[in-house]
Amino acid sequence: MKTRFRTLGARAALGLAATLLAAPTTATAIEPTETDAAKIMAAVEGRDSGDKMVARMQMTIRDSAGRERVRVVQSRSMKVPGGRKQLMIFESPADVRNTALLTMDYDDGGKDDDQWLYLPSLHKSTRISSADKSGAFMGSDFSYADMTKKDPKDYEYKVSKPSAPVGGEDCWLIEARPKSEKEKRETGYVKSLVWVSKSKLLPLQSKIWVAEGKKIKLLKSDKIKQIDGIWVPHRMAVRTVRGKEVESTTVLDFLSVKLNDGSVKASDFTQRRLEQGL
Amino acid sequence: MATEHDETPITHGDDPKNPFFEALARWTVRHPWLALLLTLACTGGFATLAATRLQMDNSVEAFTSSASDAREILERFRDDFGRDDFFLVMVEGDVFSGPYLERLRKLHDELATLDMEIPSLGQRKARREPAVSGHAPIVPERKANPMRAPTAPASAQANPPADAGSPAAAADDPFADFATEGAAAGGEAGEATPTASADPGPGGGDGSGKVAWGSFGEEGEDLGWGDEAGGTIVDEITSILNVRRTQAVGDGIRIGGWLEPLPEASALPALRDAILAEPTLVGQVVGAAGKHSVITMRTAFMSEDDSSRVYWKVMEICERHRAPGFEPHVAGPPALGAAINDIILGDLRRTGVVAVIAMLSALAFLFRHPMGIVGPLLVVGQAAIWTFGLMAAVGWSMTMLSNILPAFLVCVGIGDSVHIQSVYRDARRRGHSNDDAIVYAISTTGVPVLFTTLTTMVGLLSFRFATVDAIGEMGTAGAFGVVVALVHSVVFLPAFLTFNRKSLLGATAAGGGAALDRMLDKARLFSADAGAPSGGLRGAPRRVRTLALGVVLAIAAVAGMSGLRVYHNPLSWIPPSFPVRPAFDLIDEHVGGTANVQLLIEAKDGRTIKDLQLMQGLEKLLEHVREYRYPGTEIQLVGNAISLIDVVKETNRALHDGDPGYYRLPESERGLSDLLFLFENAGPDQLRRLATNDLRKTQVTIRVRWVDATSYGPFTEHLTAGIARHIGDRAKVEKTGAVYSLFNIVSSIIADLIRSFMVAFVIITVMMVLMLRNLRLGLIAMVPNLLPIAMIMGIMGVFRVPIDMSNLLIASIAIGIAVDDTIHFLHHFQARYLQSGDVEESIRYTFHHSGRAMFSTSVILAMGFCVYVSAQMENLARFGVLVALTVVMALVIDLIFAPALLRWTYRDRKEASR
Repeated sequence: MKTRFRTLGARAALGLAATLLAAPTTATAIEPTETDAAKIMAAVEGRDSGDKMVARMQMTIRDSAGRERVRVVQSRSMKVPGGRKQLMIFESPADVRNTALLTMDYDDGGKDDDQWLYLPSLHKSTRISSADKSGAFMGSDFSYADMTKKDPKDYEYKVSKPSAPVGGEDCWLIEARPKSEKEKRETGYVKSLVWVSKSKLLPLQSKIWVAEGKKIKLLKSDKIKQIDGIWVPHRMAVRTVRGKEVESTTVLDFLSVKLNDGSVKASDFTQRRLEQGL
Repeated sequence: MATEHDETPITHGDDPKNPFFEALARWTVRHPWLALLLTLACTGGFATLAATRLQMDNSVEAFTSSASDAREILERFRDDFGRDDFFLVMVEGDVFSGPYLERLRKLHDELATLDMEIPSLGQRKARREPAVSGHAPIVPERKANPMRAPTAPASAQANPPADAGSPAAAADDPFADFATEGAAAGGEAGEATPTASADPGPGGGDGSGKVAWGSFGEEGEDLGWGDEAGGTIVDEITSILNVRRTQAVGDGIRIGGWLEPLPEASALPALRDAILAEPTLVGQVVGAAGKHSVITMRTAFMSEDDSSRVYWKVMEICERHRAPGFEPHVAGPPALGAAINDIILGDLRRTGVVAVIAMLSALAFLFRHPMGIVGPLLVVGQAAIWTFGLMAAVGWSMTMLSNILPAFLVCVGIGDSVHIQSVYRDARRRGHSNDDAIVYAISTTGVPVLFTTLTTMVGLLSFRFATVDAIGEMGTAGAFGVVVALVHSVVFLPAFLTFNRKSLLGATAAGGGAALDRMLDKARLFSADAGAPSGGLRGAPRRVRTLALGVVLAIAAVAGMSGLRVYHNPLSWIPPSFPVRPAFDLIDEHVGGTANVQLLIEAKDGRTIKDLQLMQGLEKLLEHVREYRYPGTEIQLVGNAISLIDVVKETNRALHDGDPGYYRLPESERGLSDLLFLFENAGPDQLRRLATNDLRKTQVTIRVRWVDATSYGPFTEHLTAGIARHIGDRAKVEKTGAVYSLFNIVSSIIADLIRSFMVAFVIITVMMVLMLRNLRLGLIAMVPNLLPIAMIMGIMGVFRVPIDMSNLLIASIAIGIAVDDTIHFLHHFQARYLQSGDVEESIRYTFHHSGRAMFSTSVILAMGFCVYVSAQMENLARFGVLVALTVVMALVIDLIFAPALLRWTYRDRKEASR
């Protein structure tokens, strides 16, 4: 069973907005005229996304009344056999400084993630597990489902439009639906529309039908830049809408991103390091 | 001076004609088709409006007084925390048994995935501007075209974010409405390859800087859910199955539902003991005896009509899951509103039909011909349709108050038609042609009918001065209705009568009534002295004795009024046979209560809810609240309270290996901050229900029993004292929720009653003086109108009939109606007295001309108001009986005391001159 705490940053930077994406496959060249949605999504997921990432992120959550909460997090992550490890240490605001999360996110969706939380007031780390998987991440509009790999067998894809430009950039518009009730229940999503850039093989935006309360979520990627030849969105936003109301919006800014950083080592992902803080 | 033995025939003469009404009548008889078609076309329009746009609203807040800030606080609460009310599905049975839990699981799942077509999903009745100054809404509500993409507010352009760089940059930035610290989104130099110039980013605005999210194209423009299946209208559902549990396990903690997954039967006894020992669960999701559990279901905002549909769907689902040992009941404020809406619709039909039958019978008795029956019924029917059409057009909802309107308009509006048709019939009998009789009837009765309409209208419009908007709206709609009834009486009815070429409307058959005449004679002579037997009360004149009787009655009435009490409980209006009544009672008795008090707590002076002293104060406040008992008893009002405090304590205990000694707040602010951090990550959705995004505000929901609103008075005082003692200046604490709204209504009921009655009384007095053009007569006229109001209040006091929101209307409505008889009576007295100068003869003339009409219209009115007895809403039935009683008393008092007052204040002019 997955835990509440999942890796933030690594997946986000590498295509968080692409909810309901296929699992990694071997990257394949794909023509802009391609009409097979499954092939397109496989290519998106299979593109090189780099490893050993070091990032400093700022998450801004704004509610319908305009109240904002801003948190800055330092993150390190690396691929390991069977999954990905991530260490997140909160930098600000002051009352959460040095609070830290260490996560082992297994590729096997049926296996519980391992999660340790360090709370400075307790002076020790605690292992956390949770049954709830469809909730919001840290009170944001990002859900855990947004950060979880999806098994392509669980989804039906179809090209809704072969050409749907976003900001002047040509995209495929792809519709994705979970095949099973289980997947639908776990993600909380009924359907998604994903705009995939033909040139970058990167989702630029998504519209998601959220079952609970019949909400709509809009995800956008922005400030897409190349790092070591890999396209990386440096800003992502999610907006939750219901009817005519915008309920809340979250913007995740990557204040700095490094990929394939040699300073990232296996020893960064230990309980001891977790408790050391910044 | 005339005496009771004076049988001198009373001479008839044509009453004065009003030129305006005469001209109107002449136009109508020349263009009857045009008048009919114009009227019917408008009726069609109003009917369409009423059928398509009229909404029902019987939510508690619909009756909140605008004089207080209760509604404002409630809306602020909703801005921050969503819906404050929820459905409560209580299931009786052996909770900790396998079959019960299996069934509960199925019921819970079906309710959790409840999906219906709800056109108003997400819509709130009242919208407010964002509460936080300096922050514009991210996307304002789109009013013009809901299909258009959202746009940023103008203020977003006026105040570009600090990191926008330039207005042009803001215009190109789809996230321009977000200010970011450091503005270092480009990353560290050299790490990234900026492509901003070549790639401005997807979805980049429309060039105006307004559109932040407009790049979703055709598929994205409609941000509504659309026809997609698989969604649910339920925002949150909590039961004993999924209620959150943070527990110590092995080397860490586990966060999940108490009964997720369902345990084996062998584990149930231990779980039973654990759950029933949790103070946060008993009275929230389970009863103390383990024989009842509650599913709390919170839906999105929606209209009252849609909420009613959800209630019936929930009822249907519950019925399907009903089984021996598994008995569901549905309650909660939305259920109450839905039940009331349903009963009201039934009552509208029932009272409407009964009123029509009653009026049909009265009209048949009076006019003996279809032409005399159909016309007045069409008049009042159209008046009702126009009234509901107006309500729909201006956006007023049907409430448990405005459901009096159809029957009210039928019986009040019919009076105009009765007067006009009576005069028309007499004119026909005297040999006038049909058209001349119509013109005569309209031109001679137009003015008194206008004045009686105006007084009734004033009585209704006085409700504009009540602080509860629903009362004011009902009054205004009713006033509109009586004016419309007048207009139809002087336009539609004459046009309709032009098609009556033969019938005299029972003129020849309606000449009887000897018994009535004898009764009227007795009333007339009650206070007459001449010829009366001597040796009465100390030999005083009869008029004085009659007036003394009036004084005694007034004193008795005032004494009786001391027993008046305010009692307001909408639940008590619903017949016990409706399932919502026992549902409320059972939940109140076994699981915490069905009503809510919400506390909206905003930390002051830059603090947040991470302020340890504030949280400690809140903890003490909640202890203070839970300790409350009804004054002088040990009866508990508070069932439970849901707050951040319990979550923090539970998490603290779990982090300390489940040690019960740690079921408390941490000792440092950092500790509190850490626990809230953990909670935020473990239950972010739950945190959103309990605290705002910036952690400056939190809320506490206190579940209490549903009792009459006045009984909440001591509790709110207890709460206020606790807030002052334990929170002090650290935070601003505001009370809201159903209980507070109800209590707020009670606080304003007496003031509203007095205010609206005084306004009606003063204006009607002025109107009487103006109409009679005589100050003395105008003031005298009001005395017999005050007495029946005082008497009905006295009777209510003596018989312990409470004053609630419905019968606070009685005084103003009754005075508006009762005064009609007095107008007719004094109008004729004055006219005759000016001619003859003989008081007794003038009184006799007045009785002859007005007595029977006063009697028949009062009987029709009383009969009409008795129609409400057929209603299922008890408040409506009580209202009808009380108004009917007032009308009868007003008639008796007019017939007995008005002559006595006139005999006391007027002298024969010949006598005076001698």
